[in-house]
Amino acid sequence: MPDIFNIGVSALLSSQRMLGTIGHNIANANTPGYSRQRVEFEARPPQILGNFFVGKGVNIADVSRLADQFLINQVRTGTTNHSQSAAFLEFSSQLNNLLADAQAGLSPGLNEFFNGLQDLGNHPSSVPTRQTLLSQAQTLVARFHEQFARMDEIALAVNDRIEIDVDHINELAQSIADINRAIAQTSGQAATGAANDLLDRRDQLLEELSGMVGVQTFEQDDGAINVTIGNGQVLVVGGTAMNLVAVNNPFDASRKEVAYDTGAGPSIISAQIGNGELGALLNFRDDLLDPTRNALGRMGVTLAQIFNAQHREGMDLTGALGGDFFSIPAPAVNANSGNTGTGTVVAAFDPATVGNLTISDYTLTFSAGNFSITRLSDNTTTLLGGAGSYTIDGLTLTLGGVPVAGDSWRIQPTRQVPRDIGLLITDARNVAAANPLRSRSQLANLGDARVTAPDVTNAANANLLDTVTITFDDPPTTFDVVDTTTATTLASNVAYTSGMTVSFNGWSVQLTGAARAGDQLVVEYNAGGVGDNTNARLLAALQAARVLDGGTANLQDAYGSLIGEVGAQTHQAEVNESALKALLEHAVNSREEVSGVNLDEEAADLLKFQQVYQAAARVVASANQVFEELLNAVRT
Amino acid sequence: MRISTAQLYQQSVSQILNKQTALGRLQAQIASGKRILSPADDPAAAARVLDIDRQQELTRQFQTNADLAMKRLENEESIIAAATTTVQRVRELALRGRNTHLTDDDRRFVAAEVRERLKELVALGNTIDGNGDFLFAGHQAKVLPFTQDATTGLVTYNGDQGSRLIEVSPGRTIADGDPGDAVFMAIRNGNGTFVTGPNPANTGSGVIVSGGVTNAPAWTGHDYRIVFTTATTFDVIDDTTATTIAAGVAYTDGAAITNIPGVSVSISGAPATGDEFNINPSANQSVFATIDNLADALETSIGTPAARAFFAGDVNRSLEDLDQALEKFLEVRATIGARVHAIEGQKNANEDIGVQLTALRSDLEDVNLVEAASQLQLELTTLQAAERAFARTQGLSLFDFL
Repeated sequence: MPDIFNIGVSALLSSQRMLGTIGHNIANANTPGYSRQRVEFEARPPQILGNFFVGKGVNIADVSRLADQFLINQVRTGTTNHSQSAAFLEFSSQLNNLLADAQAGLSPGLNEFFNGLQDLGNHPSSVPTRQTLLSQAQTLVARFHEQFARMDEIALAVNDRIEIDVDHINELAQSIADINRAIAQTSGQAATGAANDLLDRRDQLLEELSGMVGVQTFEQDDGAINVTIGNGQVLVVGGTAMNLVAVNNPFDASRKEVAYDTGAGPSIISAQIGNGELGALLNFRDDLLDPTRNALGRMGVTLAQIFNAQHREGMDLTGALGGDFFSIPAPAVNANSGNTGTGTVVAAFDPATVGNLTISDYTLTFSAGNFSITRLSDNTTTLLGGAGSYTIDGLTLTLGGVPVAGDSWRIQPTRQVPRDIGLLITDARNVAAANPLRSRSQLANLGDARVTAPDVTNAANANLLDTVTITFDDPPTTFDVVDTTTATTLASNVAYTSGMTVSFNGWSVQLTGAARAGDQLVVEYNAGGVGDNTNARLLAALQAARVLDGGTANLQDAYGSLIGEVGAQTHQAEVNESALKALLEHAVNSREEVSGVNLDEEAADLLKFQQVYQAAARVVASANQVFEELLNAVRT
Repeated sequence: MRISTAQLYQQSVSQILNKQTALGRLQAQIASGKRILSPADDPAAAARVLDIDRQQELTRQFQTNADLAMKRLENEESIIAAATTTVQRVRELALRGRNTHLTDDDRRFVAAEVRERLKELVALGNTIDGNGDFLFAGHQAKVLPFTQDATTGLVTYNGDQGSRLIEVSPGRTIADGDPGDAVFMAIRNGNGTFVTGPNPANTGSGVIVSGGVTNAPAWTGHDYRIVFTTATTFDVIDDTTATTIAAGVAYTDGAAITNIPGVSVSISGAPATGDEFNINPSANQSVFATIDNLADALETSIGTPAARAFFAGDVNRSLEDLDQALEKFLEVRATIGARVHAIEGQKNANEDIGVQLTALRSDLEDVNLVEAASQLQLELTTLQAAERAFARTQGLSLFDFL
């Protein structure tokens, strides 16, 4: 008789437990990372009664957690990959939209500026036209500044996000360590079961962490999980969490790097972190933002260099030779904050090899008495030598001082250019639209010898503006060249052929036609030549001049490829993001199939165990009735 | 396959969100008419569009340049047409003044008008354009190109020989004018090859007339002199080489003298012994100097046979020189016409290029509206279906029946 009671009570208690678990499942139906639980029943060990066994009711074997570690790991990997692509997309979209904005883009500024030069060519003597050109130049420069500022904002946002992510990672690591400790403590107490809800919580934290940075996990015997990131940097060991810190780049205080705090000072591990949101931030900055900023700067330097060179070969409205039009900032050289020597590194742009400029940054190192330079885009190292002057990739480096082996510098040739490029011309009259020289054939000439307009080849020549006569000898098969300003004979009895080019004093002209003895051609300073548009035309032609990338691309090409590169990477990121999002969703679905709570299922279970409970109650009641029957029988 | 309640909800919501994103995109494409909303949509096409944009801007600029050059050339043409009329009037005056029946006073009246015409021509040469730039000063746009000396009447050119080139297509430039030097100053005198004239010391009534070039390659360009050793014979001397190339040639009034290689001249009238006539290669002489010379000749009294001979020779020279000037004007007008024609051709070509660029750009970046609209309809339908399905599935729960 007590057996029936015991059996009934065991059923009552176990179904009560099950109903509680169903309630727990329903309560957590929307809890992220929650795995549904189930009470596992087992029949109690039977009682031997003579020749046979008698059942004794039900026991609760376990409250199990329906989870599949493989699926959890898949979700974790999926999260790492997806948040990496999503973060990259988030930032590359910002850059992409910045460049797509036709109003803020550089392209309209460039077009307007060069059209302004064409207008100047049409009206070289008009001061209002010159004013317009100057304001167009100002707009162009402002566009560079604006683009720099907006890209700098993106760089600052990357810095901020790195700091936030590092803090978040530290918090997560600490929480995981805490849960590790709690799990380790509980694992000793229960013989078989595990702390299901703690495991869920830890998996949830690990999923969040894997979104920040890719993790590797190692389960320990006591149930704790050790977590490493990068290529083996330990983040969590048992109940202890290590700290990441965001530190300044040793070359550049405006850049945040991820460092691992070993206790003996932070060591930078940015290069080892390639995945998760943090990896995406670092990749975006190194592979897209920096090259884009450098490319923009290179456009600025190239434009300024070739424009200034041509402008110096012209003559302004006041009759003076043109000066520099744009100001060109020097390449940025940042010494490593850990340098111990007193080496001096001065970098400058080399006007002669402007086409060799790259969009890479460089690291200059000193060791064993020699400087060597590494181009970071392809990691090519060139051994330079000791102190001295070197030209590489469009840069002139002047190295000196007393460096110590191991000292290093970071050279960012063009990064700051869009910020610092400026306009040097403020007076519209100083725009050099004219040729500083003109040529003429004397009216008294009997022959038809003609001289083309002089082409200035070296504006720095001291005798550039001297009057030079080319006088044909008798017979006119030869000619003499005399600088009448300095009364110097530059050449005598030069053999004449029609179409020949002669060059003196930093200019060259072409001579054509049949000359007669005594005919004279003159090259002279173009005093009063305000209607001359020669240099304006030459300046306008720079728009199409192929000067970048070793003379294969013009300014517009360079800007086009910059936009194309950002567009392509953003496009790639979009494709990746949607593909990885689908993969992640798939992984989450697979996990949910096993672990997710289905309310209808729980409702059915609820009914089922309600009925079991009712039946068990009936069993107890029956036992009671049977007992009553027995008592009644004895009573009578 | 199991499905969790949260998953069912999540899947439906994310599908609806995806549809809405696609709709938003389509809506933006249709509203802007552009297929490429940012470079990421089609990086290669976006870069191409930038390049096309530059070419379009440049082509528009070339059209502006061409219009401007055309206007300037038309302006110049009208000035030179006016100058032609003036010089033709001067030529008529020369013909009228040549009439030996006129008195000295009559000729002086003619001379006075000639001098007025000269001033008129100088004024034409000093025309300014809309910018206040002198049309014929070369690059010295702010320098008065022609100034006339008040006492001598001589006109000097103060400009230079530059002419402004205007770019009308990549690499193609066209001069939007001509320096005054080339139009008014550098005019070959005489018949363009050589010029004839009497020695001022002549006493006879001989008048030399250039007969023209008979054999251009044979013409040496040397200075020649015909010296009358007697009233009926003359020598021909090459002054450049200081050699007598023909001696004692018999003189026939008005007959062609062909002793000078490549050219023929004739002398009429009665030269005196010792009279000399010069044959020199043509040099540059401004149209102003030509007119001034004519006025000077008309103002000279012609009392003696020698003076009459000088006068006849001078007027002949002037007529020749005026013809040279007219020819020069014609030549300049012809080159202007050729340039205007070239610009018109280039403008048409630029327009074609502009149309092509627009078409190309449209192909690259414009959205196909029909396609986009039907796509929009499709997305709308599926979104509505997804929303209905969501509402239905979310409404289901076993708990409703408990």
